[in-house]
Amino acid sequence: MQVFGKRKKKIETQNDTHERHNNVQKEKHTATLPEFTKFEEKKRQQKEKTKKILSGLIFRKSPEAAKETVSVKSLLRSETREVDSIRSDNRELFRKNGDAVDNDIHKCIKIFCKNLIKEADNPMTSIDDLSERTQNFYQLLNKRIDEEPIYREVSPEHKEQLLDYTEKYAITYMYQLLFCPPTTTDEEKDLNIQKRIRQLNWVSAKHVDCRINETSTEIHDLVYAAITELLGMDSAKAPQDKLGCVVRCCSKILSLMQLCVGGPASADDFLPALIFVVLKANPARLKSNINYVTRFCNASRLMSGEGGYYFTNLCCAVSFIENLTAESLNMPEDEFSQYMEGKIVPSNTWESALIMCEGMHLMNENLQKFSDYNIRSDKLDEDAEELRDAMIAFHDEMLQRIDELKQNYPLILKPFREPTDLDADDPCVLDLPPPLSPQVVSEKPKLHEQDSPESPDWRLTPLPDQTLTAVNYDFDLSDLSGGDLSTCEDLGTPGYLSMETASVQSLDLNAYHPTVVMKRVDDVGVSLLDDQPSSGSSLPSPIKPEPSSSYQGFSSQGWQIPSIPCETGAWPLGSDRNHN
Amino acid sequence: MVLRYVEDKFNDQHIQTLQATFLNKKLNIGGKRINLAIWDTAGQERFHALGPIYYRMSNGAILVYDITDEDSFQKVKNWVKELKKMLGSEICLSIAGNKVDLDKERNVPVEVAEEYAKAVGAIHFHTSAKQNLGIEELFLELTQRMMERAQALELQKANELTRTNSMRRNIVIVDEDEPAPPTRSCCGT
Ligand SMILES: Nc1nc2c(ncn2[C@@H]2O[C@H](COP(=O)(O)OP(=O)(O)OP(=O)(O)O)[C@@H](O)[C@H]2O)c(=O)[nH]1
Ligand SMILES: [Mg+2]
Repeated sequence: MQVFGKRKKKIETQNDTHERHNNVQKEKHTATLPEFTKFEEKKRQQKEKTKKILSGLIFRKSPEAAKETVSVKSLLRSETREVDSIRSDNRELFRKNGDAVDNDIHKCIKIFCKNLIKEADNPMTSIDDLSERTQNFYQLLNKRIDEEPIYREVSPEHKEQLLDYTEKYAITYMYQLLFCPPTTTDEEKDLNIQKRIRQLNWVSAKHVDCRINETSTEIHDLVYAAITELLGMDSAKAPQDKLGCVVRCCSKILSLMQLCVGGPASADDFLPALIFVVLKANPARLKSNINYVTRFCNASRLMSGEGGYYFTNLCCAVSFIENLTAESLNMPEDEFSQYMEGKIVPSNTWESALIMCEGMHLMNENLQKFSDYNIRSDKLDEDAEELRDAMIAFHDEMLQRIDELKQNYPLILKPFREPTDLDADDPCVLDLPPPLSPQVVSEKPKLHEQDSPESPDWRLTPLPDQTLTAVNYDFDLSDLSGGDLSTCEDLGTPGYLSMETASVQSLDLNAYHPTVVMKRVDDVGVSLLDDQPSSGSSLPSPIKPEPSSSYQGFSSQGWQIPSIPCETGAWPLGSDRNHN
Repeated sequence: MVLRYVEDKFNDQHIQTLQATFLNKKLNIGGKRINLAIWDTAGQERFHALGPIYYRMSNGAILVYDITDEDSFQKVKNWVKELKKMLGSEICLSIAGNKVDLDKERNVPVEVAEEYAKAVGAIHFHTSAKQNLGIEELFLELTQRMMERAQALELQKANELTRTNSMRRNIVIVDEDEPAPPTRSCCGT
């Protein structure tokens, strides 16, 4: 059961990311599929609504404001797993530099996150303010690491890693808050550029002055690899990880251009190729990603190194695409508009194949997802099988244990108690020694005599005694289930009912008394006790009925002993008789 | 030009250069560690509008013209105007008259160029990427100047105690190579 619970949770989180992916994909479709436009509109409206609600909450402050922080917290909680893995990835770094460094860094992160989240709660704070805060924090931390004595032993390389770690940890933690926040128009810009790139799917490498020659598969593979890396940017969370995707994409482009140009590529070759790749990749949430990196990636990293250079070029490529005109493609105005309206379709096969890159990627993503589902459904099947096996095993074990129990505590099923027809000629009865051998007596007249409890005959009956032993010392279930139930329907007779209540409540002896049962038996028209009194006279002394009150004493005493539920004893007997 | 600088001077590890688009170089000038980042920009005219994205945070620029091409010198003038307008006078400018190996075909008189450079507060250099002339000096001088400018600014800032966001600039010294496109370059001189 526990295993099941865990699995469910895992599936839920997976669904989460899938849902996000789905949304992205839905966005992708909006431009081409009209029915999705509505969906998109709805989504945006919803977002605006939540924005309003959120700001309303904040303006009112007080308990509602507290609610808002709760929602922020739940937003952030979704990143905890990622953050934890960042932490465990860097365990070595902290182990080498000691607990003091560890504590100080995490203290700084905690304070910074707390402050920034608080600040983000304020509707007057813009995303640029948050960005400014973050950049200031990076600088302050840099200074702290350079100056504080705790960090004196830390090597410059580790200092750099600590800064990286802090950035990665803190920003990933607040990802939901800082990426494409509802206070910005980032999402709208994403959709716009996505739509525009889709409109520009006819743009060829030649159009943008890109010297990609498409002949070799090696070059094709590099183009695909670059596109894949660029598309990976959306799924990375930490700013430097997103930047890493850009770097890998651009390195691929540079090696590609080196192949095409036949020497080290210059910026003149690189930028057009990057533009080409961006056009063919049409990455999801491009603007959001760029803005996020610009705002929250350590600015010093964006100004130097390959990351900074490549990222700047990516910004240039995006800006070029946004402002692309016929002139920037060196193309006559009317040809451009014809392309834009889809009146001319590019002829180049490889390029048109690349147009499908977006679709291909989508398909690949979906395939990936399907294989994921496949794995999960296989796992589900496996688990189901496991569960089934467990159930079977459980069942078998249960049976086995029941058998064991049966062996240890054998349940002796007594045969259905054959109602003794005392009138019948039983051969065994004939073998009985003389005092016990039954004697045939006339039936009816005696019955009437029994009507009176005062009559000595009823006191003679050894039957109650017999029943007591029979019922109390071995629980004869078959009797109850078989005989008793079948008679339940005809228990409506007042005499029988009164007997039941009497035995439970007042223990009225008279009410219980076998004579009452007798009456019922009589109703059925069978008499069993008729011959008893007469046989009693020939019984040996202890069994011999004594017409005294002493017997009554016994029976009243017996009823006062609670541990002997005499009434249970009466049932099978009664029912047995009824059977007759 | 970047290629020349990259290949001849800084590629001491003899790694085959894959690209000549940017270069990071750690220099030690006057006992100070300096991280020099040289960024090349795409020279095509259609990308001219993207300039601001490249030079946004830069501390210096090298503007290159082709001495055989009068037009390219005109473009340098435009760049100077744009950079001064966008980045203020804080930016360190160097103007390089390239292809001095083709001095016979010179179309931009030395005096005109040097005078112009002086007028706008830039330093003029005569270079040849082909013959590797004056290039190292060009980069070194600019780096030094940017460093001095940065230190002066830092001092000034410390005195004023103003905490503006331009603080970021002091973390690294970024230099961008902004070659004004020599018109004949496309044909390959
Ligand atoms: N003779 C001679 N040719 C040179 C020299 N420097 C560059 N060239 C040639 O000029 C042409 C253009 O050089 P690039 O380095 O591409 O020029 P660029 O400044 O990057 O041009 P844009 O990127 O368009 O601004 C190439 O064919 C070079 O071989 C030089 O010093 N002497
Ligand atoms: Mg160039």
